[in-house]
Amino acid sequence: MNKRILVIGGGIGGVQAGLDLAQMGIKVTLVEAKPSIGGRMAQLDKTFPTNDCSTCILSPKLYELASHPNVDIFSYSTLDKVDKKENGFQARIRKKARFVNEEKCTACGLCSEKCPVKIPDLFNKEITTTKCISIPYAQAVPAVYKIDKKHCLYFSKGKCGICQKVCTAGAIDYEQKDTIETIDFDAIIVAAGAEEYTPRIRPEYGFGIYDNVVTSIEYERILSASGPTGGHIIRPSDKTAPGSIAFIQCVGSRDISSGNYAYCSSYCCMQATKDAIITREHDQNACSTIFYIDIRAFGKDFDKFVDRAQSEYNVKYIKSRISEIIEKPKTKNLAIKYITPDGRINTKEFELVVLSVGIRIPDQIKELMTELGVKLSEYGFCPCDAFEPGITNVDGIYVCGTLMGPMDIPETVMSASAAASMAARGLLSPEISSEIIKEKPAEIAIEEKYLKIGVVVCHCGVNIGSVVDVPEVVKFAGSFRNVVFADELIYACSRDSIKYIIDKIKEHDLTRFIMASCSPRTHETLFKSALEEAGLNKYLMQMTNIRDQCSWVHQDNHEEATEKAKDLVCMAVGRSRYLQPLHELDSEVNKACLVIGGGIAGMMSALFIADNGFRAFLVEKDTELGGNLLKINYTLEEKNISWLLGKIRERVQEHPLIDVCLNTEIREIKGYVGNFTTNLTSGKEERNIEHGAVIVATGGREHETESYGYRDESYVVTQREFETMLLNKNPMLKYAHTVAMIQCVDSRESDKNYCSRVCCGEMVKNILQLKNDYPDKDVYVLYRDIRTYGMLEPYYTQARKTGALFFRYDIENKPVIQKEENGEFIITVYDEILRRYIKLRAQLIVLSVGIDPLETNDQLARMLKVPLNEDGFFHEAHVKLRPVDFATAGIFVSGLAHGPKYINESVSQAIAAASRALTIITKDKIRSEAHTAVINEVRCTGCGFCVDVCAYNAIEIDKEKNIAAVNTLMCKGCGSCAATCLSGAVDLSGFTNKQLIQEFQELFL
Amino acid sequence: MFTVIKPMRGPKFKNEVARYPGGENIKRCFACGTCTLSCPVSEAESNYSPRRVIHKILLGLKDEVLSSDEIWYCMTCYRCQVRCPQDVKYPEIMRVLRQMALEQGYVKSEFVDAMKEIEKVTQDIRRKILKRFIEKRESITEKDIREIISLSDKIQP
Repeated sequence: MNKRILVIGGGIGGVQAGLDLAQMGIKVTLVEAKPSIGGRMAQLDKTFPTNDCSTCILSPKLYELASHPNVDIFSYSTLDKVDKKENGFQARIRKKARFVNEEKCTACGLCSEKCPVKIPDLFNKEITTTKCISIPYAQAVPAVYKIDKKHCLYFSKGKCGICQKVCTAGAIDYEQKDTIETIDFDAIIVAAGAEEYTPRIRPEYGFGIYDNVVTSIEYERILSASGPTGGHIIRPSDKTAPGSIAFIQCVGSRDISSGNYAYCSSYCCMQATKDAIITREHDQNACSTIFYIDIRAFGKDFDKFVDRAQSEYNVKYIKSRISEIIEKPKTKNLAIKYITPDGRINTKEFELVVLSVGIRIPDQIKELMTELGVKLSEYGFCPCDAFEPGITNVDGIYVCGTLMGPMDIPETVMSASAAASMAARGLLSPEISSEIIKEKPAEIAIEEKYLKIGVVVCHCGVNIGSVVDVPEVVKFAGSFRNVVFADELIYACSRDSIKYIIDKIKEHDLTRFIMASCSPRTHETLFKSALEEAGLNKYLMQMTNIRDQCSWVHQDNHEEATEKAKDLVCMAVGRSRYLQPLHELDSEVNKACLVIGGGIAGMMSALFIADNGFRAFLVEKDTELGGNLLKINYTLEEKNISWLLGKIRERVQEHPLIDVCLNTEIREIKGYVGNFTTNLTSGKEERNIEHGAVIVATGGREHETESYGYRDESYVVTQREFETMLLNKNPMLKYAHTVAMIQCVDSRESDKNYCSRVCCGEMVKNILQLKNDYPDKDVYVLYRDIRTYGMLEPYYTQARKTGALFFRYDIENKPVIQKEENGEFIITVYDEILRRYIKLRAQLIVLSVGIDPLETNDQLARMLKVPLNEDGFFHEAHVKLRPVDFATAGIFVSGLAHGPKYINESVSQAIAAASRALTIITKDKIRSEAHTAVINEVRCTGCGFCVDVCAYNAIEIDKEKNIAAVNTLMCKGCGSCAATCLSGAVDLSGFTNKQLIQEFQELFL
Repeated sequence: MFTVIKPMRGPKFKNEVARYPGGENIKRCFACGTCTLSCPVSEAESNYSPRRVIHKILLGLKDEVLSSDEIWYCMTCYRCQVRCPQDVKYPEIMRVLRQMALEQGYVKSEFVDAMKEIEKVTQDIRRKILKRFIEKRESITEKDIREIISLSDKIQP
């Protein structure tokens, strides 16, 4: 058993799956066809609904993956062949020639600067050009250049060779050949992703003909500060800032006429909303209009985001699909004809048009899947069963991300984490710890030694050296008291240089080391490891960034750049005087996980913990397992839910590693990551359990409504009740010739301003069932937006085909129901298309009431010290990239407790939570941060302000001493407490007041 | 004004339409409005909306639809059909409705013949106007056009 898993695709899905597996102790080989990992997310400017910078949140994950000892990344590589073997696979990976030696390239960029050949920049969607030898984007991982052989003068004409001449690292290798490696794998995770639709298929939108019509992904690049326009929103035709921008939705989605695009692409409504908001933030006079069919703001906090776009950013939403775009010859403006909200036809000119293009699976990925033997749907995606998201028809091959169907980043991350623990089954064991133990020389005690500081200033090729006078900085550094060694290096990060640094530390008996070079984000770990090799504590190094902060930003002013570099080095010297050795603390991990809630999410989490060989406690307050699923009979995809639920319950109950605690409540949870103690009560019985992680899967419940006469009328029912009526062939159905359904009851308004996500699908499901059983019955649906996103859209089409009629109503003008003497209902609603009120007659009214959070969430949240959002659902650590984590380490969330979602989504998130918990409980020991808060017990007054600001619940007030106490294992070293403390009693180790003050004293005194 | 949507007796109008060749996709309509925005007739007559005609068919307003002027307005340019994302085939549906109107006695066959004649003559007039304009290559106003055909009073609504 080699315990190695192949991950195909280096987008956010592949990266997350790879990271989770690596953290569980499994070796990962990640193959990416492009020269760098990061995928589509690296091209986005920001992410909704928090408007975080996409690259800023993504790149730490990329670095983390690339530097993980369990991970091998094969970028710019393809799979030649994959063979099924006994208990696994064998893959032949072709690493294509970059003509640049990956080991030697330092990404200084000189080759690209001097290269005379310009080629279209694919990363920037060809809006601009790049050089023939290039890197896709500044933060690309791996940071290795690549020659485009087709356009290179050396290869085509045998001339040039400039890049080789200028490369001081000697990394250019024109003779480089493709290399092939054959590796055995236990399992494969395919995270190959999707691509955007080409709008040329719809010529009426003029894409590729009119200059100022761009796709949404091109617009992301235009918005991006690191994009082709440097973050200035300018339109292609005349490079001016557009004052009016139109977004056209559903280009290549919900469209069967231009190809097989019957599905909804899920994220485009929110992407357009986000882009419209960012546009306004760039330019206070820019006005955006979004032309849509239905606004699908179905995710957590999405409706509030759309509301804000309208109220704060002047974004207009107009329900009108656009027929054509006409370019005005002189101005190159674009005329768009649309239907106004009151039904008139109007034409307006826009200066820029953004087409919200949908996604599809590219042919080469379809071919790959065929090669692997994985079945795809008629749309080219890889659909999975609701209870087995990620599992394909081929044993040992799993899928995640947009390959499964259109989805946004958090769903991709969840499915990737889920795929990790599915693929890991059989490879983990509580006996084998997953933590990385690195052999290193014994640490030299520095306390008894003289303070001896060494300084190295790096040229970074020409990156620093061509602007900053490096020898001058070295001379300056050498002039300080206690500095016994100062030198310069062309590339401090090269292998020879690291060895040189180690030798010099030993030779001069250095006790502090200063590195004046590039960004700690990319290189600190490397230099720290050099100190470790030399026997010094790695926290005795101080890095200062004279590249980004001197040579890059002041490249036009060499003198002042040099002066600033000297200042920075001076400050680093000052600070280093008080640097102290720091050590991470190890703590034992209890290898069990507590799962709170015995619904489908809780059961799946427990199953995947247990299937991977670890113990799970499954606590359910009710007398049986199943939760909300006990009341659901069928879904759009699964006809027999109760049978499937029965099988899962059976597996859970019979699993030797799952301790099912029914009729049990949680009284108290104490402890921290790796070491929790929980007090369970069942009736009068009480017991304590110990575990290393917690998964919150407490679920949600159907909203109780008083609207539309639900309380008093027996013929007004909820969708769920209607489903049961259909199942039982309730006699009421005989009488009800016409069924009227009302969507968004009490939802998306005032105090319940969120979309419950599942109601449109429920409505469609029940229509299909009703029409199947009783084809003659009429159905009216009164809706605000139909939100059958992703692969649910074809079901909506099917529902329309059965003859169900849909009427859109406005929140200001809700339908009114009157009861007739004969018991029938008359519904009066304004028909936007007829432009008059209509009266509909129905005998049965079905309400879509949505999902409420549990009232008990508040109590559990306080017990675990985790936050809820304003609607009362549990609030994850990060909406995009940490959708199952809490900020507090060791606690995870899944299912309806996190927010409304479908069964398959709950299951996916539940398995993802199991994965995340496994990354902790597979370890024997977990390691704390070295930089943590330290309380000065004399100064602390026990006021508790630090407790309030700590996002990680790492501080408590010791009641006996009445002073704050920091749990080092939970502390992340953010420093909030130190900044808050009024008595100056908190210091952050590695960033102590003394160190910081000395930094300034050195500079100014 | 209220429109009361009554339960239909006998075969439902939309199903009737769907049974004719060309009418089969009518129920796929999700009322996006692309047809109306594509329509050259709607451009001249803002009250004419293919989307609304489809909606009325789906609502079962058979009398209102088959006796309306609207079903004779379509000039079968097929722009709506090409652009409809759901492949609803509006011009085909108009052909179906015209046939139904004839079959079910809403119009006589002479009326249909006259309509065909009108189509032909209108096309002829259109071509002549275009020819006059193309020869002169000058700007032209609505008034000029009406003068050219010297029918201004008669064709005004």
